[in-house]
Amino acid sequence: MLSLLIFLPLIGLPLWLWMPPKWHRWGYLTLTLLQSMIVIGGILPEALNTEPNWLKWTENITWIKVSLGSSGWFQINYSVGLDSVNVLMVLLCAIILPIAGYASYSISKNDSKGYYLLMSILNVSLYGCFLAADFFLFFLFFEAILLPMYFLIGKWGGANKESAALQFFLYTLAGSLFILLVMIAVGFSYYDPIETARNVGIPIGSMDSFPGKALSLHIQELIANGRIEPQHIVRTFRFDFGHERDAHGLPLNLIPDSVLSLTKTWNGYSIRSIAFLLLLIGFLIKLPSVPFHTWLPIAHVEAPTPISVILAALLLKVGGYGLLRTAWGYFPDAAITWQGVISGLGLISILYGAWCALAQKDLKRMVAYSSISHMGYVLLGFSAYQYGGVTGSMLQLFNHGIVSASLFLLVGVIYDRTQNRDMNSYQGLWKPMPAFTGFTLLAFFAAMGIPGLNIFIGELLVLSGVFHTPELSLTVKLLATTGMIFSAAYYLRATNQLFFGSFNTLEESWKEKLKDLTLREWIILLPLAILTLLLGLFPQLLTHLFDVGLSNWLPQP
Amino acid sequence: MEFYVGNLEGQIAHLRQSLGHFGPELFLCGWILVQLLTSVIPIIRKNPYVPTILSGIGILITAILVGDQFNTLKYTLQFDWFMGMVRVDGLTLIFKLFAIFSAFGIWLMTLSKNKQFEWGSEFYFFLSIGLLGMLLLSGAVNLLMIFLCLEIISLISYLLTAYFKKPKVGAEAAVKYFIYGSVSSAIQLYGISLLYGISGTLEINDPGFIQGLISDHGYLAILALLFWGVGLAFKLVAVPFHFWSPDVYAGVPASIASFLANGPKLIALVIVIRFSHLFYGTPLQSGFQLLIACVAILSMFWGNLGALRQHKLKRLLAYSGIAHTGYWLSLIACQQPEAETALIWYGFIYLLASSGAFIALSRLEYFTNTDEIRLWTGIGKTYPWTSASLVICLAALGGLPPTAGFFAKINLLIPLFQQWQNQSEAIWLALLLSVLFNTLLALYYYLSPARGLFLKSEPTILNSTLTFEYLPPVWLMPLALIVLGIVPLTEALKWMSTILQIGVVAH
Repeated sequence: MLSLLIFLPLIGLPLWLWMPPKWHRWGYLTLTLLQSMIVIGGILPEALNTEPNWLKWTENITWIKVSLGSSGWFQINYSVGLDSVNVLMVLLCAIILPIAGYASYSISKNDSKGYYLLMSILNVSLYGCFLAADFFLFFLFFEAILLPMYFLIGKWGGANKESAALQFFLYTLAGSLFILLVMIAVGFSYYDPIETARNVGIPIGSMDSFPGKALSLHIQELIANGRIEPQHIVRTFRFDFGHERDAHGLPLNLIPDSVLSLTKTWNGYSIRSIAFLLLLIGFLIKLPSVPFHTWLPIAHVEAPTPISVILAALLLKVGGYGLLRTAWGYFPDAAITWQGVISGLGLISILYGAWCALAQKDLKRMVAYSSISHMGYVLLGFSAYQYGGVTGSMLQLFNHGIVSASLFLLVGVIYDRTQNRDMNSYQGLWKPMPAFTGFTLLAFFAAMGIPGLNIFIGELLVLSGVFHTPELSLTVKLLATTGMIFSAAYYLRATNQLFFGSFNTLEESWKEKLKDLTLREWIILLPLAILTLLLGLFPQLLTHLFDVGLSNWLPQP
Repeated sequence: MEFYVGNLEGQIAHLRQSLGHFGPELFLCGWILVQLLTSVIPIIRKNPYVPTILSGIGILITAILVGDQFNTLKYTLQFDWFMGMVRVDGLTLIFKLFAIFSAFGIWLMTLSKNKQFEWGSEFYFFLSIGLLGMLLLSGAVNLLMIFLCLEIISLISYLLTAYFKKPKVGAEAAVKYFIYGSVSSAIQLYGISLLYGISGTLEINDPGFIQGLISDHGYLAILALLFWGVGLAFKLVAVPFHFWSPDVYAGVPASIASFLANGPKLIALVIVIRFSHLFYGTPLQSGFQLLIACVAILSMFWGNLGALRQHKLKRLLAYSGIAHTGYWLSLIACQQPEAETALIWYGFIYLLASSGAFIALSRLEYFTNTDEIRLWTGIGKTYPWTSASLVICLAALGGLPPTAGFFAKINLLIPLFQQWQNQSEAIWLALLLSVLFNTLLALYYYLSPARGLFLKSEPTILNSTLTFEYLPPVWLMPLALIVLGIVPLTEALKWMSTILQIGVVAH
């Protein structure tokens, strides 16, 4: 079922070439809605009924097996699955992608062929990235996001679209090279218990059943004693074997005496912590966090509205999800080592993002910087590596997806009417556009972290996690709480400028154009607004989906 | 091997047996005569399709004959034929396939008739001789035989670069190529004579050859090897003998640039592989590895940095070719069987992607009469299929998914990582990191044609009129790249590594 979910939009590829352009948007919308129906109708009820502990609906096929000669085999699997770490992200895809598809009405009919072609590929890559249960497959989809996104920003963007697209591409690619290096090291250091057991003839019972802890321990012991020769070891990229942990919190399928074993050092530094740092940098570029954030405001300003929505609501989440899945998943010990640095980076992102947002006149740039600030909370929550912090970070990832999508759509509403995003050009918009004002205020208040709206819960849990972690310094704890004040400052300033006072615009002719929301704008904004309210009041709707599984995943107190 | 020495009957029997393993080459010799003879018959001469079809049939039958050799390979125990001149082992056959494939790529390109360049029957005649030279080179294990094959290929390359006299840059390119090429051949020949003087044999698999080189403690052996390497580096376009390629590629039509970039360049690799086997486990090994690794790193950086500032696609592909030579050599430096399998796979994907890029380039050049990327702005809209095919091939060269270039790149990194893991010397880490860094560097310029073709809106070429996009040749390579990027390759890789082990001098 998950493969169907991932690859459904590929049906569209031949369709976009033959269909008349006016049907493209509807065709694409149908496909994304079908995907959402699979997620909401097929996956969620089951995820709610049973405890979503470890990977469900796994599909696992050996894809490529490379011989390493005397070092055994290198196995790449096509393996997808759903668990407590990615269930929220898949749900977010199911919500955002149809909305972004529907919001693509401003794309000209002349080149909509290419647009929906690229959107379909992007769609496949995003679902694939979140559902992949194999590091290699994850990386493949992660890379595959780049090319369609590059063209989508570069062709349908604003004035400086080409340099923005290139900057986005090269930044992310630079990060992915660090990830690639660690991925190869991971591939060398973790074994596949089932395949290895099959190779050396250890009975493992039914092939379909998941290998128990006993099997993993047994094989690890045999390798350590030299009873299994290196040429019989099948090395794997799969995430799901790693969920059995030993006393140190390390995955049980780590090969003793491999590159990533605890004792290995390079010039006096532990290789595990170097590898963690490389992964961290790779994903921080995507997240993005200060000091790797400079591509984001540029990309956002140039991208068309639906692409901005996908960029903010889903692509940034790939960074956060990737960190939790790979960096924290493979190197929980190193995560503790770098705790201070990570929390520092998170804090700087929160504050610096907020200060930059305070200085912006362009609404889209302001929202982009506020995204950086919000992503700082995610990092801070991860740095407090315990239940509260990580739960908060995951809620923050999801809720920021909802709120940033509506913020970018709202900026798009004004931009569609006047082709101007400078907040100083407008005054007193509440009078001609009351509904727009209502939606904007709701999104602004949510983004500020007002209690009762969704962002608040995530930030609160992150902060409580931080305060419950004695290893983090007091300065970080105290300064982190001030982040909310700054975000209130720039959102209130924008509110003040845009909505209060008498109705006035920079150019007289715009007054005609500034009409209230049309029906299709209602359609895209209303679901997001409802979710903002609903998830603010009932956050347990989300936490139910993943908290049981997540607590297995974290170091036990 | 000595059974035929001094025994005439034995020699004749050996030669007769050898002919049985010489099928593709023999057929091609005959076919070249057929092509030559038909081109003088007036009625056929006037018909432009006959030489094209004849050449296509020739390539096809050669391919079938080489495919048949794979079957006989399993049952033979002896691999050296013609008294130690030619070797028919797994490596040979795989490179023969590469040679045929590169010739096929060029043949595909000539299907789209180009106003500026008229493909005469001589062109196909040259192409067949070039293919013959490459087939022979794949199996050559005698220094003289190698030199002869390289010269056949060189002569054909000189002729092809000078084939179209109309654009003046073409003549300039031909003269440049001829002068550099002949000087490097001369140096190589000098190296061969020194090697013969030191070791007393020309057969590289003769144990006396490498023994002679090792026991000679002076600098003479190293000098001889370096001289010998000059000619190879020239063909491989490796730094520091790379400087000719951008000028020459820019001066010739895309099809001939494609011949230079995919034919001799790739096939010369087989000689480097055979030589690398010789040094395995000898005192010269570490020196050889260091030298190759240094050349690899230099080539990667030189190629990629040079390509960053290119505005013409042919020059850009020439520099990218230099960088790819660097990637290949980095795998040769590892000296492991797994690295060799990765190398062959990488070479195959390079062949597909590079031929595809040149095919698309030749079409776009035909549409617009230029290969200036700046002048191509917005024509992606006029010629979507050809432009998309170019973008896919360049993405494969750069190693982006979902093309096969992605796995080829990963497969290239695995042996390098393994090598660093096994012997943690600084050079292996440097090699690994330079490959990674260059991957990033390269994507900047691989994307630049895509930027021009698709992202800028207004077409600057005003005289381009919409002509029919002839799709099959243009889309063959991109489709193959995407399919190979998705299908499971386990069996193909396994087959390749078994084939490569057949007849290889034991490691």
